[in-house]
Amino acid sequence: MSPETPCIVGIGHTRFYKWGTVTDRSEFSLACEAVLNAMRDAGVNSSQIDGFVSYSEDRNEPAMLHKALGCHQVRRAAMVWGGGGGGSCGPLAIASDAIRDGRANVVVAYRALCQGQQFRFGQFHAWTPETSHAAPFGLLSPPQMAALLAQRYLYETGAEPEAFGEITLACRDNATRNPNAVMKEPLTMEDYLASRMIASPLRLLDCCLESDGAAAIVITSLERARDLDVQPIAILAADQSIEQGWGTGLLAGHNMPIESYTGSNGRFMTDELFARADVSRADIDVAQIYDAFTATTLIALEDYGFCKPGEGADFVRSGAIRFPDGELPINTSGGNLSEAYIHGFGLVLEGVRQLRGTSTSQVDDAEVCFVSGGQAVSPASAAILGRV
Amino acid sequence: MKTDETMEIVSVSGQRPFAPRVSDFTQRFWLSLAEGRFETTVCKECGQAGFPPRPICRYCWSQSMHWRPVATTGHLYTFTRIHVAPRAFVALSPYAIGLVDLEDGLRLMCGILNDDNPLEIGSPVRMVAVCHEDGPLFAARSVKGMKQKDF
Repeated sequence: MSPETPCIVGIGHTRFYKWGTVTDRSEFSLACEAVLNAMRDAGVNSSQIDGFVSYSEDRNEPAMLHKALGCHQVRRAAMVWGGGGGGSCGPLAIASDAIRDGRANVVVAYRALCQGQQFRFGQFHAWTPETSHAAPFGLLSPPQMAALLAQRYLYETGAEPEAFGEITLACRDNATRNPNAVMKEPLTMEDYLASRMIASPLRLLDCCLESDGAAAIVITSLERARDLDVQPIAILAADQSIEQGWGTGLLAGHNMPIESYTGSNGRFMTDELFARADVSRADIDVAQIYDAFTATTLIALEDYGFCKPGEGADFVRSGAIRFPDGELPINTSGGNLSEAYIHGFGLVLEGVRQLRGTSTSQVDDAEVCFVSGGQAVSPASAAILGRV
Repeated sequence: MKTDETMEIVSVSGQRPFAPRVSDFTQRFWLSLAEGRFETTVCKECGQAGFPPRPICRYCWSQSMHWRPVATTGHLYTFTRIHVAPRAFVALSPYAIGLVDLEDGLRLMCGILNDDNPLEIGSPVRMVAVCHEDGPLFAARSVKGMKQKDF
């Protein structure tokens, strides 16, 4: 690996809480706590940090972090626009470019959510003109939008809702081993099927948690990482993309091309990502696949090329995504569905833990991990992480 | 394919739970809809149509658009029945919304008028104008004699 290879050298997070329950301290203080924890983990101090990147209109601006942490010169500050958790791997792409080009030396990527103090994430706002052709009909929230895609997927593939439930159960099983997870009670398929319908065919247990908390990582070059007392984890590739015809995708227009309507908005991006990382799907030992909704995670397994189109249900029901014996264990911390919903950034941290060998559901000899942002929104993003 | 027929107008009491925003450009669409005419824009340069109506062609970027009728029959492409409704829609829940593929190739999102039968993907539907006291919306209704209740 070249000395410029971007590497994650620190991870940190706060305690994870149910949404709206953090009222005695600010969202910004959570952001700072996560960043400080990541800095300590990496063994870097604030004078070394010269970049901040985030996504989804995170309110904790780099200027505030610069001041609070006492940074010296910040040379890169960037935000991935819109798309909710679709952008969760976008900061890795921006930081990688900056580090490869020598435009920044140590970049912190972070996401903090404290929804009781601002607004509930996913809450409807008439921000874009096209909402005039969605909201008046009562289509206002993410699960309703994903439900349209999920219903079509079931129709096209003949899959049963139990395939969605298998994603729920796999994530929850992993969360039972993770002391940081918000939801640790074991679940059965009967529990899944009995959970109340939110927007058919999606039930409550098809939908991710809503959480308060923060998570952060520290990224630097392999060359600089060698001077730190840490095991660097390489970002082999990270990308973001809006594919043709997807526009705002699930989040309003639903004008995606017919041939990819039941897709992830990441099909072509993923092919490019694997080519750039120079690894194959078979090389992936463990994956962290964004799980806002079970249906979109299932579709992503097909679209990202981990199983054939239309075979996602058979793939997951064969036990393929289960820890420890499946061929592709996913969301080993419990994911957005059971660990916490820090907008998918928890999945990035878990990818690093797997390659360090420190997960609570550790896959033996994990060397390469695939991480994705949210599906069917724009921009989508994904990353491939690898041991150095 | 008939695109010149007038839509059935279903009158309902009360206001729309969440009224669309009407601009100088889109008011033609909503005024026509209130009279049972379902229209969109077509590019004068390249002939491409789209829905919703737009002032700039997304295929050739021409700003020369004209209005034409939209097909009022099609098939249900997908749907969801919403059981946990946003506050403004609680009184209507559970209610159904879906995507409709119209016979002229356009796809749109809309409400589905309540009926007592399970919804099915692929069902033939007809578009209707649903006129509330404060203005119109449009909705799909099964051609196979769905019973119309309050929308």
